[in-house]
Amino acid sequence: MRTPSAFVTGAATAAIVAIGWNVGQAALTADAQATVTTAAESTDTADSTNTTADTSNADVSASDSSASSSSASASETTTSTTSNAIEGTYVGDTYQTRWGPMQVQVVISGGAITAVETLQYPANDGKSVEINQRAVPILLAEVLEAQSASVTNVSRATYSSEAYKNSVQSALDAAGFTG
Amino acid sequence: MNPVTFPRHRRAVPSAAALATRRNHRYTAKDAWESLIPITSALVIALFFADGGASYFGTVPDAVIGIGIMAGLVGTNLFLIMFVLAARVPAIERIVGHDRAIALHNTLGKPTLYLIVAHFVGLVLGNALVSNVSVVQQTLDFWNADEDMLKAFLSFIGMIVVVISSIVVARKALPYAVWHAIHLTSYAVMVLSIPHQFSWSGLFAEGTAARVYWAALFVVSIGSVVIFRFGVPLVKNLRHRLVVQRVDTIAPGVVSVYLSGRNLRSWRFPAGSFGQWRFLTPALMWEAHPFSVSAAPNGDFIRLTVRALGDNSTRNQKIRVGTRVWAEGPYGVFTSAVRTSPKVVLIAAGIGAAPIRALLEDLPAHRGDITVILRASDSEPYLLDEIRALAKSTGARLVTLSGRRPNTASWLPHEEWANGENITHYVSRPRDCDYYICGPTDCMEHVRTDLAAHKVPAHAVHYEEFAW
Repeated sequence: MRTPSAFVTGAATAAIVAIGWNVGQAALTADAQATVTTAAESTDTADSTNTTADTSNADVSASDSSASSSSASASETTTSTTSNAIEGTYVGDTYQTRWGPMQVQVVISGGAITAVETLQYPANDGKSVEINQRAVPILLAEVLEAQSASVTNVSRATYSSEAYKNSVQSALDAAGFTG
Repeated sequence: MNPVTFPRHRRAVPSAAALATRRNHRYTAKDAWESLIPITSALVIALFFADGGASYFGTVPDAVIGIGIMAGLVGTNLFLIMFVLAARVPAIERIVGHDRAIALHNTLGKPTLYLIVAHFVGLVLGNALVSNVSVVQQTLDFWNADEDMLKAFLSFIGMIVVVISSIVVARKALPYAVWHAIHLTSYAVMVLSIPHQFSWSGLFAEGTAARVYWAALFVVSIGSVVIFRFGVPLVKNLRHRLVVQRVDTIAPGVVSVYLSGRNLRSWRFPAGSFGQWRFLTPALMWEAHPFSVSAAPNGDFIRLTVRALGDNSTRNQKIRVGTRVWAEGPYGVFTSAVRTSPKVVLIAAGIGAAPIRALLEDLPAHRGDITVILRASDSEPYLLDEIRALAKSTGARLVTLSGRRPNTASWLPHEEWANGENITHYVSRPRDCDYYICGPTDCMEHVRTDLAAHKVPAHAVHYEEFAW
């Protein structure tokens, strides 16, 4: 390759990577902002609805991927318990994985995590659906058992596990739940 | 035996300016092709980042996974480009040249393997760290994960075998046929790697630009192999049906083979090009041989001039008239397409006389602008009668140099070398000429050294290295 061509190629190579990086950073920032907005909205509407903890207690289905039904309604009641946590339903932040978003809502009742509902999970393709339908119930059981987001990853569902735990943790943070 | 008449199709002599312009265009096109390797590598990295890849670099285990993924992406990209380079795509054959395309293909083999190894190591190690299990356990987990991952493992093992066998064969430790059989598993390697790219990696994740790129690359690489490696030769051979028409023994162990076929006007092997020839007899049909044509395309016949070399070429002498021939080509850029100057020097040693004779017949030139130098060790140069007649009719100068080479570095016979001769003794103003050189590799290297010593620019020196 002639020297000018080599320079052009080198410059083009660097430019392409730089553009990709910037697009990625912009997307990640936008995701972060969108997540913050979602969280803010749920606080705004906090006092308008009152979803009680016990109704969603039994609903551990992983198939509920619609975030619309009750996701924007984090309710707060002012009952104080042994923990500092405030009772109610808290929507966690959305975490992006390469295969799609993961988001949960956590129900705090009687000072304990009584339910975790998966609002959306990575489902860009059939394999992701399969992996998450297996992993989510295991993660749910672990969180309820541990009463914390610090649980073991489900094998072969590392990304889903990380995103799930992060989303749970963000909901617990919003609730001020410390266990 | 009645003599063969070669139909003449003389073309106008190109001007120096036209040749210079064409050279510039060709180099630009060549650079553009070669730049595709770094640029597409950058592109797959860019797509990875654009798709949120930077988020991998938050923690050490994730970063290990991220690096493993990037290695896999660049490695897969190179792997697919290797298929395109070896697929005999006409544009690549014409611009980059067959020998350099194959050389590039060979160069990419090891880096590709290293990247795929890095991919494997990165993902096993990273996931082992994330899941807090041993590397062995993580490997077993992946192995047992599902069918797609098992195929990926088999693909990985296949790739190691293919690359190792090619490195070994470079040292001539494996017979060609065995190497070739192993090399064909490359197709299996590619196919077996595909399922895990759908199910485990985000290569084809919906809604990403990466999906478009990777789908296009797979289509292009598989498509170019299917069309140009298999489709085009099939169609050409079924359409033209080459048959051995005449076999002349021109020297002990050297034969000229004339092939006839239907409508050869539309299957032209330019002077200096070569093909892969397969003589369809029970003994020979399994091996294709790279031979240059020894006559310019004329629409009536294709002619090869072949010397017995090794066990297989020996049998070529027994080729009978009427034998059907399966051919692939034309390949190579040892043709008028790469010419850069109106003045041309053709240098042949041994059986290298075959393409040189075709070029002498084909290259349009003013009288006195072409010099032919024929080297032979102890016999008369091959095709000397034909070359002498062509030189006479085209006004080319002919120099024959016979005698064994000295053991030291020279392409000249011992006597001329002892007299301190070099290219300037045969060519006046060597820097103004174009050189087409063909012969045994070491002899041609000495010619190139001689030319470089007399400041002949590299772009004016043309040679083809047969490669398989």
